[in-house]
Amino acid sequence: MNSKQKPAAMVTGASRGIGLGVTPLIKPGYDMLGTSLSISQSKQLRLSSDRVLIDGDMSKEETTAKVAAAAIEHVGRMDWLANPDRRAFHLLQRAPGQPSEWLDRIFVLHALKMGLAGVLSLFVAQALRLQYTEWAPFTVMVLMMVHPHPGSIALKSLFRVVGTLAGASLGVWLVSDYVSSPILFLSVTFLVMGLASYKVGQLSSAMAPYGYFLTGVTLIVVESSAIARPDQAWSIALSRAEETFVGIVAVLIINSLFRPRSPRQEFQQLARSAVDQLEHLTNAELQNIKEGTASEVLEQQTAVLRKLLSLDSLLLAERRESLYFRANTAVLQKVLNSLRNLFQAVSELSRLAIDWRVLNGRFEKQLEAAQDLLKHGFANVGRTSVEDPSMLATAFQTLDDEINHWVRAGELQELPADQLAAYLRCWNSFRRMQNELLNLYDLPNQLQRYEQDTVPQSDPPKTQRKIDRRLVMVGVKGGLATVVSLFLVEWLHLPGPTIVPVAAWLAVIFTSYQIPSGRSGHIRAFRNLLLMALYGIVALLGLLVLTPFLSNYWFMNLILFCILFAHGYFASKTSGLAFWMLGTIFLALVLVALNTQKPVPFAEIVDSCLGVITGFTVGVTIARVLWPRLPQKELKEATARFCDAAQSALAETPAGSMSSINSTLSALPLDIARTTAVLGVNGFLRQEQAKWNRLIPVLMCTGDQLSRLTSIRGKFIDSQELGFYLDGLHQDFRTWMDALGRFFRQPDSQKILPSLQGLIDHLKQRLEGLTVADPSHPSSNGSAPETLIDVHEYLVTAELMRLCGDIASSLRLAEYSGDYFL
Amino acid sequence: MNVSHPEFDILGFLVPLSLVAGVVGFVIAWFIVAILERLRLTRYFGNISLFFIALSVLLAGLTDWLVNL
Repeated sequence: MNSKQKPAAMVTGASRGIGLGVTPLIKPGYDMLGTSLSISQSKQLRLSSDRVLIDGDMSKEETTAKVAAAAIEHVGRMDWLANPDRRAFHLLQRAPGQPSEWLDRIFVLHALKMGLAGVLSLFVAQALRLQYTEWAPFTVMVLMMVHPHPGSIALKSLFRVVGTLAGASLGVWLVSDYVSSPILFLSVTFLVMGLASYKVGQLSSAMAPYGYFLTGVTLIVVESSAIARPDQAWSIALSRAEETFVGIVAVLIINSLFRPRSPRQEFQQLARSAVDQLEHLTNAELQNIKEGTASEVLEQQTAVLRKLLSLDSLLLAERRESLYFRANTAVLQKVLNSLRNLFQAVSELSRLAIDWRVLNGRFEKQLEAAQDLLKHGFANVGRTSVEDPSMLATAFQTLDDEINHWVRAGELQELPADQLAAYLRCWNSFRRMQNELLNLYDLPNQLQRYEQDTVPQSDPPKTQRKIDRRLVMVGVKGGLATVVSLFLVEWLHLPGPTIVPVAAWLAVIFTSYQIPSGRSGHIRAFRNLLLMALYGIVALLGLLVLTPFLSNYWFMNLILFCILFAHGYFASKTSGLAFWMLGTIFLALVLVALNTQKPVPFAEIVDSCLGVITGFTVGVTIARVLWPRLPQKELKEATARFCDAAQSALAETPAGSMSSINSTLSALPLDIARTTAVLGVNGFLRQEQAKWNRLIPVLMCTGDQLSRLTSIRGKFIDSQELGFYLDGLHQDFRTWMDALGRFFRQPDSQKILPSLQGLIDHLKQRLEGLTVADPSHPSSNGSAPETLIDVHEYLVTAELMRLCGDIASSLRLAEYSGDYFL
Repeated sequence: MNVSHPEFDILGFLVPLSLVAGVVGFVIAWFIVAILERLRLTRYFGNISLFFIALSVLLAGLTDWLVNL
C-alpha cells in the first residue's frame, strides 16, 4: 500500500471499446487499476508504477477477489470508477473492514427470527385472551434489538422479568394510594424514573441496569394506563407482566430452536480475520519504515481495533451462554490477549523513526530475515500448518542471539544514538510479535479445544463506582420528561394519553445515550424530531389506508412480520441506538394496539399516532434544552479527561489503580474517535474533523507510552541518579498535560501551550551520553541498550506530546460553542 | 390566543387556528435560526434550543394575533 495519498481510478473492460477510450481521460497523478479478459496482452496499455493491470472475467468470483487484493495491495483506495458495471460496485462495497457476505446472511437470519418470535408472541397473547397484546411483540423487539445470542437474551430476559415485576408493583402502589395527591405521586415517579434513566447509562458494561430500564418502562405504562381508572391498576399491571412473559418465552423458544448463533464460532471466524488484517497492517508498517514514507495506516488500525472490540463482546456473550452466565472461557481470553498484544506490538512500529539508509547491510539483513520469519508465523496462525513452530522459534532465537552478541561486543555503537534505540525497539517489537504468533499458532484447532476451558480464570478487578455527573443530568431529564408528560396527559387531555409518557421517556433515553455508540446525540435534534413527525404522519396515512384490510388476521400478521423483519435487519446493521428504531417500535406497538379484528374508530388511529409524536416532542425538547450532549462539547471534555488520566498515570502515587487508569487511557481515544465520526455538520466542523482524525492516533500512542513510562520508572526506583532524573521528567510531563487539559477545558484563542522543545533537546543530549558512557555506568545495571531504550521511550513520549500540542493548537476550540442545532 | 376562532377546513379536515399558527411560528423560527447558523452567529447564544422554542412560541402568538385582527 504505497500510495494511499494518491487518488485512484478503476477501469473495467479497459483493453478495448469505451474502457480503452476513457483511460486517457484519467488525470495525471491518479493510480489506475485496469481489468479486462486479456489486458496483459494489450498493446495500448502497459504496466507501470502507477498502473496495475489484471486479466480476468469480472463476472467470476476469483477475478473480483484478485482485483480486490490488487486494489488493497497497490492502490489502497478508489476515487473514480470508469466503465463500471454492477459487479464493480459490489466489489467496492466490500472494502477491507466492511462486513462480508456471511455477516449479511446472519443479519437476515436474525431479522427472520425477530419476525417469527413477534408473530408467535402475538398469537400466544391472543390465544390466552390477554388484555394489552401489543406489549408481547414490543418485548420481542426490545429483547432482540441489540443482543443476538441466546445466552445474552436469556440473561436480559431474567432482568426483564425482575424489572417488570418491580415496576408493576411500584405502579400499582403509587396509582392506588397516591393518585389523589399529585405532588407526592409525581415526586416519587420523578425519583424512580430519574434513577432508571441514570442506571440505563451503565448498560454497556453490565446487564443488571436493564432491570432498572424495565422498572421505568413498566412504571410509566401502568401509571399512564391506570391514572384515569385507579381501580383497575392491578389488572393493568398483571396483564403487562403477563404479556412481557409471553414475549420472553417466544424469543427464547425461537432463538434456541431456530439456528441458534454460537458466539464461540463467531469468535473463531472474527479472530482469524483479525489476524489477516494484522498481517496487512504489519506489511504496511514495514513498508513505511523501509521506504521512509508515512502512508496512513489509521484506517487499518481502526478496523483491527473495531474487531478487537467485537471479539471482546463475543467473549462476554460466550460467558453468558452458560447456565450461570459465567462460563470458563480461558482459551478465548488467552487468544484475545495475544491478539491485543500483537496489535500493540505492530502499532509500536509506526512510532519508530528508523532511517533505513543509516542502517548498514547486516542490520538491514537481520530485519529482513525477521520479517520473513514473521510472514511464516502469520501463515501458521490462520491454517493448519505444515511447518513445525519450534523450527521458526529456533530460527528467530538464532537472530536474537546474534543481536545479543552485537550488544555484548559493543558493535552497535557505530549507529547514532537515536537510530540505535529505534533499531533495538523495532527488534523488541519483532520479538513480541513472534512470541504472540507462537501463542496463536494453529488458531483454528486451539479454539476448538474445549478441555482447556477448565483453567480457572481471574475475575476482572472491581472498579470503584463513583456518581457520574453526566448520568445524573440524564436522570433529571428522564424524570422530568415523565412527570411533565403525565401532567400534560392528566390536565391537558392530549391525544393518545397512554402512549405519551412512554414515548417521552424513551425519546430522552435514546437521544441522551447515543454519542458513546457512535451517533450524533442532540445535535440537530429538532430536525430529527421533524423527520420523525413526518414519518409518523406517513405511518398514520398508511394505517388509515390499511385498516380495512388489517381486519384479516393473516394480513395483519404478515404486515407485523414485515415490520419486525425490517426492524431486525436494519437494527442489527446499525451501531447503537438510532432514533428511527424508536419510531419503528412504536409503529408496531400502535399496529397491534389498534386491535383491528374489531372495527377501529378513525379517531383512535389518529389519537395513537399523535400521542407518539406528542410524546417524542416532549422528550426531545426537554433532552435538547437541558444540558444537551453535543459531539463538539463531548470531544473537548473527553480530551480533557484524557489529560487528567495522563496526569494520574504520571503521578508518583496514582489516584486509583494503574489498571483502571490504563484502561481509561486506551478507551478515551476510542470514544473520541467515535464522537469525531459524527462531528461533521457544516464546513467548519468538517475541517476540524480532519484535525481530530490526526490527533486520535497520536493520543492512542501517547496513552500507550505513558503506561509504559510508569513501569520504566518502577524499574529504576532504586537507582538514585537515574531515578531522580526520571522523576523530574515525570513532573515536567505532568505539568504539560495539566496545561493541555486546561487548554481543552477553557478554550481561548489567545492561549498558547508551553513548548516542549527544550525538554526534547535535553533528552537527546542525555541519549548521546548514554551511548558513549553507559556500558560501565553504575545506574544502568550493566545493560546499556536497555537503559538506552528506556530513555528513548521518554524521548518518543515527549515528541508525541509535542505533536499532540501542535495539532491541539491548530484546532479552533474557542469557536465550538455554537450548538449547530438545525 | 383566541381559541374560539373557527377551524380551517382543509380537504374536509378541520384544523384549529392555534395549530396552524404553531406550525407557521415553528417554520419562521426555523428559517431565522438557520440563517443565524449559516452566519455562525448562534455561538453567541447560551442555549440555542431554548431560544428557538421561545422564538417559535412568540411567532406563533404573533401569527394568531395577526389573523384575529
